[in-house]
Amino acid sequence: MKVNGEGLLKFLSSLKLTVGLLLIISAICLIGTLFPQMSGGSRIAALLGPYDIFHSIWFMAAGFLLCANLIMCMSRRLKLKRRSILMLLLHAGILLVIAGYALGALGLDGIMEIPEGETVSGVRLRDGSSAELGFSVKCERFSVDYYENGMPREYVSDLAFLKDGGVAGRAQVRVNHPADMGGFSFYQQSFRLNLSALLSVSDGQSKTAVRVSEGDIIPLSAAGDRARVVKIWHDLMHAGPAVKLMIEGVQGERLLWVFQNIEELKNSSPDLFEKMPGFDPSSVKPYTFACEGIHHTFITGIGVRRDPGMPLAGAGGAIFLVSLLLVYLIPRSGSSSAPQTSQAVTPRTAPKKGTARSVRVKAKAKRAAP
Amino acid sequence: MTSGTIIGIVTFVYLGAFSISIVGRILGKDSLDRPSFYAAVGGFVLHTAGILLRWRESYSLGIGHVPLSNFYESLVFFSWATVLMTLFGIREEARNRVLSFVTPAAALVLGYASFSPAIDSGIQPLIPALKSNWLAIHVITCFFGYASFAVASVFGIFLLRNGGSQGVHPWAEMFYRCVMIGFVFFTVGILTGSVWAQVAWGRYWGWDPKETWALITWFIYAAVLHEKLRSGGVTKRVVVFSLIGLLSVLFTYFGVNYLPGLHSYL
Repeated sequence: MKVNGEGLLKFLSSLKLTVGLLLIISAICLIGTLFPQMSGGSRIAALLGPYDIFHSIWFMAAGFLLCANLIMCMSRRLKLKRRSILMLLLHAGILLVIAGYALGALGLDGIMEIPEGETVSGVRLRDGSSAELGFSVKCERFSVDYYENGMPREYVSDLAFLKDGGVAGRAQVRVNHPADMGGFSFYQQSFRLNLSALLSVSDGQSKTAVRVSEGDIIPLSAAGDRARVVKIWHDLMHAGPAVKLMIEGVQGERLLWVFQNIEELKNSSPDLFEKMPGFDPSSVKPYTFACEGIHHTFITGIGVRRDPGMPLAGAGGAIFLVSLLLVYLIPRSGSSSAPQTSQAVTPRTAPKKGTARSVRVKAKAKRAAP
Repeated sequence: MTSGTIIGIVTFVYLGAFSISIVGRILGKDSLDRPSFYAAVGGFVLHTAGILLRWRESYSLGIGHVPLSNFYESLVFFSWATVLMTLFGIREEARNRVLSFVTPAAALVLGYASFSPAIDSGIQPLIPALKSNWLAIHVITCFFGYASFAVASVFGIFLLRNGGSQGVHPWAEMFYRCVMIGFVFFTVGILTGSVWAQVAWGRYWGWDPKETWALITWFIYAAVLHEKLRSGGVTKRVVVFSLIGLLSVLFTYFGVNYLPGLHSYL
């Protein structure tokens, strides 16, 4: 038993394990880039399958083993007489980065989609659930600025943070220029155009007008009838603004394209409704639809994040970098060149000092083998 | 003369340097080593001038930025960094041999950049995501890393071809130093990239394909360093790992563009 325990310890602190784990983790990462990564699937599939590989048990197990390997190697080296403080620091830096990254799981990472002029208080998280911040965010203005050649120059959201009925703060958020509020950071992440249409529906007796967006459902006067807004266009087939409706009811389902300029279209081709019955705004009895106008607003996508592990990971990265630069770029006194440094790390290779820089390639016969 | 014309000429100067060294090799004349080297230096000077001129041109267009913002510019910089490493980072006795690998490779990369219809060599303004002071430091350190790894692979190939020889080999040390310099630069590149990602997207690491492949490359070169430590020298296995590392570099640079991600502009 004791021998086995020692054997395990030796294995855990071996460079063989280090090299093996580095290659295994690389292979897991490679698989991760071949499959589309998505969160929010089933728990088991996420744990075992390739679609959420960076949260899979394979990745985590390899990560745990790597940490164990790091800790064992460091503790073994601590006992050595000729130890390199820098090498210890360097590997401690990696441990800090991993610990900081793991701590990030306790943070928050989501998006707020705020229509221009409106206020939102919930954050949609990456797994599809939502969270409250304890205050709400209003997008007072959103703008996109373009270069002469049509490429985007800047996306800007002017935000106001509202708490207890008052404005707790204001900030302008651009790409590469986030804002901080209440322990959260706010980033310009995306934007989209939101088209809305003013539709009027008459059933021969009364006429109602509603402002609708894509996906909205308009109840119609007869019981069970309703119109779903499928799509809104600024300009459909050069015929101007249009709304595509799906009329659902007792008569079944009918698609309808409602053009704002239907009178002109009808005048320029009188047989339009014969050729395209779906363009006739009165084709579903008893209703007559009309598009009174199209209006567009922006919806800004503001990334909201809080990462309690970030300072730790940042410190780890800084420690790693500084030690790496010191280890490799500053020549050590008493030794001629950088490769000597490596021997301080592996006491096991010390007896082989003479061959440390040699090219030891196995016999040619082995290379010739297929 | 525009920077594009200059870069086009540089392609042929590097090809010329390569041809001279090949002729010298075939005729067995060492006397052609010098002319080949000078041709490469001439190409490099012109290459540098081309990059600086492009920088200036962007300012005269009113959209001034460091020329590291699209695929064309990154190819031009990658080949520049690799030639720089070879000309000024390698001792004289190995330099010409490495140059006879690097000059044709640089010419190929520049030729691809200049003449491929798929690559837009125009100067474009910066999209919002790239408007950051982190752009230059991130791209420069990553590409110096790539360049060092590429030169390391040349030494690796030399070592494999001379596999039979036992004992201390100066190429093994050069190989190891190139891997290490590359590792340091690439580490700085990844760290500056994650600081930038933190600033721009609030997430220092997001498992975007380019990020993931950079990490794969970093892990493979970490494996190279640890395998060398384990076996006590630059063994065949160490060299093979580093060549796999170069494949990973190439995929990080080119292959990832075929996967969707945040780095699709470079």
